[in-house]
Amino acid sequence: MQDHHVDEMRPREVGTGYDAAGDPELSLEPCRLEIDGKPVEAMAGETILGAALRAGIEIPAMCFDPRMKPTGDCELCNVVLEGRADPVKACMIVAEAGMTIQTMNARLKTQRKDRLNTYLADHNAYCQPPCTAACPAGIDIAGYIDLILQKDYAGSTKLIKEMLPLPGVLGRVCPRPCEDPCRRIQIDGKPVAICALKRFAADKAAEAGLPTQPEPKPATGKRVAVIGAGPTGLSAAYYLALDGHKVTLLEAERKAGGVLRFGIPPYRLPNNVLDQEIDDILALGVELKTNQTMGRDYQLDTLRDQGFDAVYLSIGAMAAKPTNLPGDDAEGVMSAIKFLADVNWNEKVEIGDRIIVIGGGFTAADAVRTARRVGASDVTMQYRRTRKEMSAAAHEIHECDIEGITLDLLTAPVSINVENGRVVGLTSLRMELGEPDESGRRRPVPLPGTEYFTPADTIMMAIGQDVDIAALNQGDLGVHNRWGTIEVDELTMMTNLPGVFSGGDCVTGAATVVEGVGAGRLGAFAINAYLNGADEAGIAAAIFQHKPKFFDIGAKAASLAPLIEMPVLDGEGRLEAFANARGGGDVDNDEAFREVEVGFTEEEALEEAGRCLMCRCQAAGSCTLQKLSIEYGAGTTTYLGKDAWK
Amino acid sequence: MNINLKLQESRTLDPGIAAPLVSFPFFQLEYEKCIKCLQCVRICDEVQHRKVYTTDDSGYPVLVSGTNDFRDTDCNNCGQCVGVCPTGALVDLTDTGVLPKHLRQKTTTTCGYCGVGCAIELETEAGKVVAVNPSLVSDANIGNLCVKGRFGMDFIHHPDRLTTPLMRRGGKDSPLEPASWDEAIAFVARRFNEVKAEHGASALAGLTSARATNEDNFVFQKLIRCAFGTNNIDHCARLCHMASAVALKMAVGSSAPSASSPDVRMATAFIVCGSNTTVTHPVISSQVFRAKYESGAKLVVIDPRRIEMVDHADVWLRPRNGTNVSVLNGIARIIWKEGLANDAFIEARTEGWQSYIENLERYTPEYVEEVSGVPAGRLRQAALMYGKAARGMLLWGMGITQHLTGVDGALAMANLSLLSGHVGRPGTGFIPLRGQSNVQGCSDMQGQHNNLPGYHDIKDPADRAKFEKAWGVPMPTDEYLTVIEMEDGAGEGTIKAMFIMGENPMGSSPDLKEVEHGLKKLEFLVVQDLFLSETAELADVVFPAASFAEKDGTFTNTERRVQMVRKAVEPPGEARADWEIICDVSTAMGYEMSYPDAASIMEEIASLVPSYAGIRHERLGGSGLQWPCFDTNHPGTRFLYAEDFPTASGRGLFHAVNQDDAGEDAADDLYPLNLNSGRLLEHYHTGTMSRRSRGLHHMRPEGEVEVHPEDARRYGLENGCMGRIVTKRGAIEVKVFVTEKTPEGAIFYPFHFAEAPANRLIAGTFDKASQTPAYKRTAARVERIEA
Repeated sequence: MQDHHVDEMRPREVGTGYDAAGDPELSLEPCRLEIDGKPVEAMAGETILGAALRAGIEIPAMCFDPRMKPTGDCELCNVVLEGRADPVKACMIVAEAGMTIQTMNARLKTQRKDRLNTYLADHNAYCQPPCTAACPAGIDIAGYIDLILQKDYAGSTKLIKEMLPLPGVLGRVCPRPCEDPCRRIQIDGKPVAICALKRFAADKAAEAGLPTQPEPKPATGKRVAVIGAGPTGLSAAYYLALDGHKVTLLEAERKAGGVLRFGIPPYRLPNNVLDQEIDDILALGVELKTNQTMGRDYQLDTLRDQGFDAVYLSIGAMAAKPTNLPGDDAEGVMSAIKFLADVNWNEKVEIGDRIIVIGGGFTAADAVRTARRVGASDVTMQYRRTRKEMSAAAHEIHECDIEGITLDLLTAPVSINVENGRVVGLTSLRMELGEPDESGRRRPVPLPGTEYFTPADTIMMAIGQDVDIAALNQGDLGVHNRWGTIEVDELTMMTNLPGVFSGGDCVTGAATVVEGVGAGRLGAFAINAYLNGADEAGIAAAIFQHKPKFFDIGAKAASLAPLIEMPVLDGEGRLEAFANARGGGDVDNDEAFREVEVGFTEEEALEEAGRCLMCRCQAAGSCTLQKLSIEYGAGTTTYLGKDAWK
Repeated sequence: MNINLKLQESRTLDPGIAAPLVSFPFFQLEYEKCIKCLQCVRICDEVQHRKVYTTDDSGYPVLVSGTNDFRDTDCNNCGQCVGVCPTGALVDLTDTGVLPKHLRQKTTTTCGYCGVGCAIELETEAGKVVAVNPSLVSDANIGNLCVKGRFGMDFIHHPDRLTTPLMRRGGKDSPLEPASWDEAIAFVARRFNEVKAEHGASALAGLTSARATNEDNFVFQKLIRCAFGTNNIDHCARLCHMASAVALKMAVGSSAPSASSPDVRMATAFIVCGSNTTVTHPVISSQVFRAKYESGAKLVVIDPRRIEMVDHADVWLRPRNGTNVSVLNGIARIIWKEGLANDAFIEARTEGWQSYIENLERYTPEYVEEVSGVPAGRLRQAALMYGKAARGMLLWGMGITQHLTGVDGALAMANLSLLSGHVGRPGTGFIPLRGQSNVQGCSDMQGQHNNLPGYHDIKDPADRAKFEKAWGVPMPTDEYLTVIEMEDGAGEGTIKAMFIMGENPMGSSPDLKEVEHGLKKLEFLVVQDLFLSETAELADVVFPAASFAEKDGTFTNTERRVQMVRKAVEPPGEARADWEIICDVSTAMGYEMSYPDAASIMEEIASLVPSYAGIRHERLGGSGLQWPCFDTNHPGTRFLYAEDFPTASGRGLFHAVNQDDAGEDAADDLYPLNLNSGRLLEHYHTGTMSRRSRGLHHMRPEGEVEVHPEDARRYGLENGCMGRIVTKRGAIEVKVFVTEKTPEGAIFYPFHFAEAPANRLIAGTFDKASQTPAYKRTAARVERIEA
């Protein structure tokens, strides 16, 4: 054995384009070397990269192909060869006996990330279409639209359900973050009606009675308690059940559904649609226990003793924020969420004729429109900023106009006028828009001396909701002091209590239904990993694995037709029904509460689906650049828009 | 990298607005996703050796034409660039999938087109093949694919696929109507048995398929021998490489190709004779290029047409059609006279040297030049390249075999190999390039020249006893008939009923008028196919068969490599695997056959065929196994004849062969041109599959006759005009393509096109020893048709 001085050691560079492996004439004895501490046998003439690949050790490479001479251009296959100060290119160096090689260290990792970022600088594209990237649930939107075009509605619904178990519900109530970045807007100014198409597929599949859910995996014998059967809890239950776990949903109300049931009025989401999709979830063997209040009927601390292996907290954010307005304790002042719940639970409501709803979000829009439906004739929405800044969807504000609702904008309440303990009106102050605040919306600034009075029989507050922490009967549960939300580890979604996970509004604060459903799905994967004995890193990996990743471009217009508008009940008819309103009591059979959006016909749906540019990348999932960029954290996961490379 | 094709005009493109480079309908390059890694440019240049891509000033790949259309370049749509792109900038336009790639099901299998046997990965979704990827698992193609393998698989789900059995319930003039399997099988069994009872077993015959698996073929020949009780079985190898098989059997004792793909990559000199390799075996050609461009191997191409291989040749010999033997003898003589013959090898391993060289004497370079038109100097260059090489390799195709002197041509090739000792070592040998996915296996299974499986001699009592014991019935004793003899026999009334599996003689056999006459005269014809082929249209019963993507089994490729064919999707409608149908027919006829699966058929094959003895489905991962493979621990055999030859004496035999032109269909005043027929890259065989692929059909919707410019001038033809090719047998009307590719005095027309079939023009004349038809030389004229 010769004794080399390290500096004299010159690795041999490969001369031909392929390994001489399998060539008996040229073949010498195989040699042994060590890669990442593992003994590896290399055939004569084989490169380090070739030997590693055959031994199942992965070395990243962008420019390696066994059919061509290696060039070493990408530099990703750089590895550390013991005895050499600088990394060597694994694709270029012939393996020799006794070599010791390390394929990864902090320096290589940084170098590789830098190299990938250089490549990405030229890669002006996203792996997923912007719609999928924007969807909090990460639905394969181009995929389900493609299946609609093939008239495979059950298949389409099945694909949606891989990410979201309530397609009929979300097809109606989703705020559609997917449609804002739709690249179709760049062609004719209007996005593809993604949400309406989802509803169409789900309705068609339900109508045909075709199966849209996979068979659950074999039972694991593990039990999970999901607390709160709202969108997040239902979603978690669905994916846990598919993984073979026995799920018990503990719901404080009379029926499952949470905010979908008592927050969203039936003219937007008919109860039969909700019932059907909840039944589908229960059909997977999920047990539903209603009228179960934590602290009264069970304790968080003792669930484990009752045989539950894990707990998922998804109690939402259903407590109305306090208003702190003078006079807010008067008769005739109520929270919009309470009003909506009363109506949706078929209680008779007496609210009078003149209604003011304070707020500009979804709840405010639901409250004014519901108020019209129980018979109020003079309904006003007061909001601090302009239409543009309202967080309610534009199409809903449009419906408010049709339904004869007054929008009183750029105004803020000052005090509630009370006579004999009862509301008589509201004093407000005019505002103007100033500098943008941290949310990007321009901050309203009061205009002194512009106070004015509006008479009212009922004033509803729709200024946001908090988590009902009191109802949690918290015990040792960690709570975020400032926001009043449940505290979880961002990476594992676990609370400070082992085996107790949480997600949705009760963690993030009040957000959209689709965000809640997305969170529930990830929570299910976290719990599944936990139940399979994963440690923290394993749980985090399970969540990461199911998070939507990366993004694309590359459009092909299948059709140049304009957006198909969602057909709705005509305004005249609606107003007529409002005139005969019965004040609630049986909303499922009340003409005033009939679903406003009628849904697409098949022809309309197919035409609209044809507008989709199908702009996802065909290579997503098999792309080397994508795989390595995810692995090394290179690039961005944010859709930067069409001018990203300028 | 050797990109020396820089555009004259400098230009840089803006990836945000640059239009994609399009190869409709196969693929396109979208710049916004391109990262300028140039893998596409490199693989096209370094592996395919085509002039397609270059780079612009900012380093983006662009086309040498300066346009956006790959049609303006040498691109032949192999799609290697698509396969190598690491980012999805090159988009497969034929991909019909909905799911992201990583969520699709993938099945590694073997391509069903030519004899190279490329490993491919079928991507399936909802029971449909939606895309094809190359697979790196096999040494046969090491990840390379051609346009047919990558983009030509949509025939699998073509609406023309047969989905139910069809039968004529009211005799020959009644229509083909859907029938149940039970009804069709019972009817077929009854009719075959009736014909057998009335006319004897020898009135029955079967044609098996080089596109079906070994298992299908094995079961089929068993049906013919045990249930039909006749030796009348043949397949289309008769029409292509039977001359090679006969010659190699005579020279080295086995009809098999001696070498493998790795040997091709290692060789240092090639003689490629009568093989349009880039067109008929594109993936083999890329391996020849690898040897040439990476290791400096020399390439001699012998072909009358200026095929693409010529562009890569160190020496091109352009003999007149049908003068191969003189050229090959001339090469041999130079090698011998220059003292380059491998004396040690000749002494130790061969016989017949003396009489061989005596015969060679007269093939002086001057004589050869006179006969073939090949200049003496160039002949010498070629001879020295092969004679001096460290490792010499011979590749040949139909240009050798499809002549009246086909066997002589192949013997002349074998002589060269023995003379130089370029056989039995790594990187040396000879490969007659097989045309179809399983020609080799089909020959191995059903035998040729009246052999039992594994080339057991049907006349040898010991061999007969072995099979009689295994199958429990006496082996038939009648003389076998070849494809052509069966067709003639049908016309003459000696053959009364036929069972044709996966063959289309109505496209592939010469003299189609006669074939049609014969098949129509049959009392009973059963055809089993994917489509209602021209032959199936004449059948009394048609069985719908599963395609290669719809069943399990094995193909044996042109290097004796047995590889798995794996089921990726369900067959359409009621179609079934060939072997399942055959077993039912056999059982209904009274000879019971049933197997639980294809793997158990392979076990029976292994028990009877010694060279397959070690082959089991579960052993066939990766590169498969190359026969001979004698037991279940045997690693297979990469190249043959390392120690001896399987001849009686164990030695290779020289054969004195002569240029014999007597019977060829020579040109005369009335038919002044030589018609040569062959294949195109985009199509395969009679086009039943490839012409039902959208992309391949788009590339080549019709056949064109290639005419030399001088001949065009002489006969008043111009590019794109319509012409009528007329021979003594018939006439067809086709478009004219004026090109110097074809030599003066000769025309070329491909045989893929049923609406204008080449074989209506071609005589039923044959090589005398092998009965391979002389497709390569028919006297013809071309007349202009005025629009």
